[in-house]
Amino acid sequence: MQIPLKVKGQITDIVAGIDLGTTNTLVAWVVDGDPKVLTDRHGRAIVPSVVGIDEEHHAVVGDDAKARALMNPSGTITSVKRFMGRGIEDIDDMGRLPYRVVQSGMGKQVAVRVHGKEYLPQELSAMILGEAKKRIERAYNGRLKRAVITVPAYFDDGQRQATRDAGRMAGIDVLRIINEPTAAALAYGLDQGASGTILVYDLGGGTFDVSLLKVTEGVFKVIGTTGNTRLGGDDFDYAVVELLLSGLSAEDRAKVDGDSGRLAAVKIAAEGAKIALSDNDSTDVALSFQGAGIAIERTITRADFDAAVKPLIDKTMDAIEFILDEADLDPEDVGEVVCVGGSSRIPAVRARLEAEFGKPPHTEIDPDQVVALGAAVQAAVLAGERDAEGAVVLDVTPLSLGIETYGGGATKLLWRNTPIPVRATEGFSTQIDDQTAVEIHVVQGEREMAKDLRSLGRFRLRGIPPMAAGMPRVLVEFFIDADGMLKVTAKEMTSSVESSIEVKPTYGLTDEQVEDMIFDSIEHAEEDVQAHLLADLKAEGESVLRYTARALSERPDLIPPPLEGQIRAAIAGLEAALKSDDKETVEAAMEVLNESTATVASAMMNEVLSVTVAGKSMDEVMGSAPRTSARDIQLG
Amino acid sequence: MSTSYAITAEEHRCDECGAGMAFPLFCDSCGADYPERSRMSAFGLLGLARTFAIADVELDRRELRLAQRLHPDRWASRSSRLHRKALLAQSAVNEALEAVRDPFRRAETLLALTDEQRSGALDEAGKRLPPGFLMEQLELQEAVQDGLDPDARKALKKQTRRELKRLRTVLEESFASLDVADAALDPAVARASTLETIASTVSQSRYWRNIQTALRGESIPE
Repeated sequence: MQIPLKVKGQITDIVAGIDLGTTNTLVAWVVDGDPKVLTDRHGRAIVPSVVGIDEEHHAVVGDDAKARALMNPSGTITSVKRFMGRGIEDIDDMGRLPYRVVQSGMGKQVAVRVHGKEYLPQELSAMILGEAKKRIERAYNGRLKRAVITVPAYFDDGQRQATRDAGRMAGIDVLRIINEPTAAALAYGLDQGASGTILVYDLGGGTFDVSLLKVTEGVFKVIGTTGNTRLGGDDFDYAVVELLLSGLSAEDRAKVDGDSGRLAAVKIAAEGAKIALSDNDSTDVALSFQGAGIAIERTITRADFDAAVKPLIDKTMDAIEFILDEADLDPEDVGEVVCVGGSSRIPAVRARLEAEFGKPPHTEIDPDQVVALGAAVQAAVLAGERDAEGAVVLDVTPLSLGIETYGGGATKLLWRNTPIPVRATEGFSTQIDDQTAVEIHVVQGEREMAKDLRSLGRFRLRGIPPMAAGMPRVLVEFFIDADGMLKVTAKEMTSSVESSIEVKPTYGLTDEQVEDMIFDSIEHAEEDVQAHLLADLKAEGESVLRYTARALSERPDLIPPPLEGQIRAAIAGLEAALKSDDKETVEAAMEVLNESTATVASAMMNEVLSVTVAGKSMDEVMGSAPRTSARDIQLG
Repeated sequence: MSTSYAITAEEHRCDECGAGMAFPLFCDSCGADYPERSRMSAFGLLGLARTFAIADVELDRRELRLAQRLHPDRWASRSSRLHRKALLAQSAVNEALEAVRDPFRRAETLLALTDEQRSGALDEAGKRLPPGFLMEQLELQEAVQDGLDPDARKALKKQTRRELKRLRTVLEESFASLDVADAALDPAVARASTLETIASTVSQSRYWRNIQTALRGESIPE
């Protein structure tokens, strides 16, 4: 933990940058002029983006949720970012998910159904943001009211809106939604006074983005951005899974492929091997599934790994070629290459980048933290806490914006890579006499036909005065603001009647719906913040107690006797602490209990799977591979 | 009729506070806005001479200077009314830059400012394409849609680039000759034929741009 500002009664106003990630969420803010990522006392910078919801619909977030995943697999939601602003038709791996994704009652967007209740992705993300908010508030004895939240450059309007709505639901005034690569460049730019052309290579857990920026005198201009939403670190893991399974007989292979628990174990081992190979030339993997009589023992060299992942790296290089071509630049024109995302640590990736650009990529800032750090810098600028000459970001819209035309085609109003904010206007008229309403279908993307494009919403113009067909002239203005989000307004020109516009987002919520869902309103400003923090903490403590008691009574088989005593002692400790009104006492007692229960989970896993990866125990592999939670493991 | 094409930019002062304005729609000293000026040409808004010969670095410099003063992020901690004005101003800056950044768009923007274009005198010229041009374009479009092998793709990409470069040179020369049209024997005739060349060149560039987009479209990463 960083040094908390222990001035009693004085509440710090925290303006944070939040990297709301698929796997982990990081929160950072500028302290004494330097951006810092909030770490816990173990030096971990992360809130795992995991939400656990029990039968009573109490939610826990982050490490707590991970620790309980084993006992609550169908109530443990990971990777919720993938569902933001998405419909059921976008989810192609429904069968592999341990929780249920359903069509929500609100528009076409999906919801996760947990123990009979639906949770929208925005609500789940709001819980994660709420946890990040709570953590930084506790650490700095302050109040987080305003923040900058980052999104992948390739996020469409619906995904951006969903992210902003999640922020609002968590009681955060979202200053800006900024693109992750832009944030990364910002973190580097200010650190090193960079100027010239920067290429940001962002290889995350599930997506790949590449962006080109031009930096001059503190102005960051995005020239172009592209990406692949289906390429990421997970694919590198699957390449290793393939290596591990390739030696098995067809029969054994079927036994592994057909069992999600065994597959999950192989994937964890694969991920551990991948990470080990970033620092070692070879690694040994040993896996055994006693129930099936299958043992996998294999030494993977870095050369094996490099060959297996070459096609994946090739794909990322194709995207680089594309973006350079579009910007009419050659690799030599790129001054700096910046690495973002855990998978950019893979030596083969770095080597390819160095070969392509003739200079090693920048890796001085932790690729997992660089986005949150840049967002914190931007937050400080927007809050006026940084020098007025601070960075200005000129971003672009990543996808073309258009409207559906008669016959299912689409007319583009704004092309991709257009600098934002930007406005486009389009005239509409009626097709039959005395028609008083017109519907406009707004779509986003690069394809020709409306059905292949992302539906953003339907805008219904009403109040057009009755006139002969083709007579009314309705001028519709499409405005993309600095966050890359669309606003639509309309005016009837001949009668000067202001047409009203009704917005039906395809994959999102209306403003009213969001207002209704704000569960932690920011009304506490005048309240005693200390009391509020303590109440939050106590409620969390109660929830931990309830959960642990249930685990003890329902799954005694998971808990070895020596640990049971330890856990019971920790429970008693927390019960006593909750009676005190001291924040730190409760925190410490909760930490003790959480640690004792965490041991249960990992001890059990070590037992179930005799997995060793490069001599590391399961615990270490899991520690370095937070993406995979304990819920994936079943008895072999 | 004007003989010289280049009109130099005028300076704007704020009526409210008297300060010099970086951008005629919005005074970044006192926050006054001038929406009635939004009909000004992109050149006027950006303080650029109405000329084709604008260096990229010149545009970059304007963009930078304007962003430093107008970008809504610089107004984030001010009132929401001021922030909104800055947002609209920056959007107008972006639109003006888009209208002049790309040389073919710039030529179009310049043409749109001529009396000839406004009166419709150039409508026919825009449709006048070199013999065989349309047929060639049609075949190329079809070839791209049917899918090209990597070598053919590369070759077509190269050809497209070369053609666009050539058309750009035609525009440069045409606009340069417009600026000195008064030196010609019959300035009116010279001007009319040059404008027709420009209109046709802009049309041709659109076809090549479509090929370029189609070629890229094939490789847009999902």
